[in-house]
Amino acid sequence: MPDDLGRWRIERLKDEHDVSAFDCGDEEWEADLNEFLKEDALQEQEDGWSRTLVFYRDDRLVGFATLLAASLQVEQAPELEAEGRTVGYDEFPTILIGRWAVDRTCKREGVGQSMFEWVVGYVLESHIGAKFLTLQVDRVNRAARSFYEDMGFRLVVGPSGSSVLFMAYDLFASD
Amino acid sequence: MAKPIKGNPVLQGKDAENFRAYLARAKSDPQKKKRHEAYRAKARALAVVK
Repeated sequence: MPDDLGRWRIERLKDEHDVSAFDCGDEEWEADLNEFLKEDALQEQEDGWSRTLVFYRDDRLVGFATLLAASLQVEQAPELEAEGRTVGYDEFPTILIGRWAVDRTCKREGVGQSMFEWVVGYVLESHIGAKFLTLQVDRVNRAARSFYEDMGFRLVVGPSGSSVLFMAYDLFASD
Repeated sequence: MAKPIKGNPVLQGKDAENFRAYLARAKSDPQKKKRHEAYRAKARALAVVK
């Protein structure tokens, strides 16, 4: 979305949206994302579990992001230090990116980066505190992990026995 | 039905230690702040259609 804001439209998912043609790929995790958008996202939104934003470029659905409130708890941290100051919390407020997908026909066109930049701006413009964006990615999905690392996410948990990796993006600081 | 969305894990042991170390060394980043200002401007210019 560098200088082409006029090409984009972002909407909260509604039942009148036709998402039937959306297809982010054939891998197992991609099929799950397709299914989530088509079968579950609207109901989860109506029940208050999450909100799904659909991204249109030139009136074509190119991606979606499902966001929800969450917290990141750090065990046994009575005196956490952040940015040189002791903080009185052992949980950080986060916005969890529960689902994130770009249609397969427009991958490697910068759509994901444009979506990410907009989501960061959207969260920072909101009037709700959040220290991190967080997400989980399938261990075998190297392309996604690489994309998120390029965006500035850091790997926080990657236990060898787990099928998913946990990543976080600091909205206010860097190391 | 797709798999349910997983919440954030509780950071424990080595993961918690590593994360605390990150927090202790992380500091305000003027370049990141500048980028974020641009992202915020985009978000303001391109509001969600509800």
